[in-house]
Amino acid sequence: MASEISLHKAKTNNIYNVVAVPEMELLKSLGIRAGATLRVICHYPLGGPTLVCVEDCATVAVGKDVASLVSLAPETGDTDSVEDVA
Amino acid sequence: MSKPHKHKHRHEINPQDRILLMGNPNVGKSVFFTELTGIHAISSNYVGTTVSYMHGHLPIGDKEYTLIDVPGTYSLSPSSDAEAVAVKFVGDGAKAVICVLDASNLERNLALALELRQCNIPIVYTLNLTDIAERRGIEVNHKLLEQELGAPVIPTVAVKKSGINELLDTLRDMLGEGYEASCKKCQDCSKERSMEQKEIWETAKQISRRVCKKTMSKPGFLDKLGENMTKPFPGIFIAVLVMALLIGVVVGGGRALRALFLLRLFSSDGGIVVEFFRNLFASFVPEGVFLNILTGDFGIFVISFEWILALIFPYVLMFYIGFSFLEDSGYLPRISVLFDNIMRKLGVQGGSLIHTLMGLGCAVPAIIGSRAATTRKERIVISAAICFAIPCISQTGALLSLTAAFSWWMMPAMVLFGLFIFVVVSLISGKLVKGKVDPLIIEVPNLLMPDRKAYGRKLLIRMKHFFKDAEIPMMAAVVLAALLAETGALNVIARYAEPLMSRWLGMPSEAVVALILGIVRREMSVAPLLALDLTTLQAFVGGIVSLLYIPCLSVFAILVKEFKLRIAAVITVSTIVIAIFVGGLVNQIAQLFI
Repeated sequence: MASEISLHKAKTNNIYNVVAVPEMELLKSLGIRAGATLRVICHYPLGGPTLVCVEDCATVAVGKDVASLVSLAPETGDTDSVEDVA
Repeated sequence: MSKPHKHKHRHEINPQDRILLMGNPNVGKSVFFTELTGIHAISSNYVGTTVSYMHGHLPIGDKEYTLIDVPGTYSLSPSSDAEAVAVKFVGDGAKAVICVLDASNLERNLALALELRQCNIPIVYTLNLTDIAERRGIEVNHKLLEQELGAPVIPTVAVKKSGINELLDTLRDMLGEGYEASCKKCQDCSKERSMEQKEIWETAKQISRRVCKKTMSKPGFLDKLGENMTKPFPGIFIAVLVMALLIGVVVGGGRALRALFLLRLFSSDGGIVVEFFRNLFASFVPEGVFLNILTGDFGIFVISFEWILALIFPYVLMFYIGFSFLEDSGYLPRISVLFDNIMRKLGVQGGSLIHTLMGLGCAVPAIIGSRAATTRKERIVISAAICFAIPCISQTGALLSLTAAFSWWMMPAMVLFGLFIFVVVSLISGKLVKGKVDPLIIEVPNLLMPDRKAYGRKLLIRMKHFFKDAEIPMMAAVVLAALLAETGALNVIARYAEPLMSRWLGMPSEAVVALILGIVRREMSVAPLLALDLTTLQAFVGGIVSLLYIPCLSVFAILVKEFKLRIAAVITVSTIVIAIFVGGLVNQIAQLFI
């Protein structure tokens, strides 16, 4: 998908659909999994984490190394084409 | 309500007699545990407060069950040591499960609820934090949720005791119906479960959409404040302000308590209580060594009051007043997110900052709390840094008392020195310990105004722990100090320790008593220095040695329990050697300029 972007580089205050996530149980348990919708609240400077609001509900901070591996697409309402990254 | 009973091993409790209290982290399980058993469990507003388990009696009908407060877990596929404990409990089976759901974040909580449902253990669900959900415009149809889950759902606000009686009634009905606990799917079935995971999440999402109605709600003051506290700007400025405020409360409040009340009562120099005991013993004990042991300058009835009650207690009390408020408000995870970038550069992640701050209270819960970390390497690195450079609040109180008599710069200099050592130890142990440190993934909880009763209860538990847990070792140290000083044994030891104490560290040789007592309790490595006529440099060196010196016996014991003897021994021996080496180095360098 051409418009995919990593969570680490996603724009603040924009809403995205999660396209792919690394195979991390905690990340998925916190709701950041393929198909979920999230809003980027802010990025922290000097290699800090990214703060997101998941499904308009929980606020989760994701470290830079993991945020770089989370692929997002701008929110369209269509969440069919999703996959997990091994 | 039951009385607390001794800690039993997981396998010692018959599965048919136990009821598991389960749920996601930070949904209020420990509050339920306290309300249901009468045993005061520490609860806080952040993930990982309960990393081990507690249990207590829960009478239901004519039978007595054991209620187990299981560490919070997001799923039955554990991602930390603490979560693994929770999964083991489910695997062992139980008579019933009380599954606590967060009404303000239902979808994620339902995923665990659905996983638990597969275990064939009778479940009653509590829909907790309904007040927070309302604040955020979320209304949950609990009757519909009951139908969806096929089990009772009780709306609750546990901190306000709302819904607790309904929960007990429902449990009574449920356990009276002859359910049999039989977990067939949860042991050795992680493969099967992971195949069903997507379906579970999808089902949770669908149920959540059906039962939740969300209305637009304006963010309240606490919501806005919480968001601002989390953003880099103004979050970092607020964090600096909060920390300055905490220090102000501890130092200012502690000193005020000492000056206004405690010194008048417990000072060795004319304190009412101390004078009472001096006069009492003088009336029937003849003058001599025995009377000195009781009420001499280092007498048991003098220093036990002065050191413990006038010197340490006020700072411990003020610290927990401030720190417990921060814990219950949900502020601590915000700090860990704000400073994750700096912590990463030290080789750990921001979440470890919570354990470091806990270490300012006491290293024992801080090291146990590190079980919430996802890797063993991170646990060892942060535990080592706490042992080396983070003084417990009792020790901080003693250091404050020591430095107060000298220059204003001494305490800030000691804080900076401690930070420097923290950085160095984190970097070196990060290189030496094999393994990896996972990046930060943490949920930031809602900012809350702590519930007055829960906050007061927690403060009471902490102060009880301080007196109960510290009493025996502190009294042992006091008796040892009295015996050493008043029998003349100290003079003999001081003679042998002279090369180390006087020539290397530049301290009076009698200061060796601080090194001996410091093995028992950390603050006791400072308290004896107060009775000596020290110069500014000697006080600074003494403070530095104490700061870096051996963790107390309780900390050593917990290091052995958590990481085995080898690592505990390495940390302990390193602290002794480095404390004396660095203290001496500071003295020798300073001597060049004096």
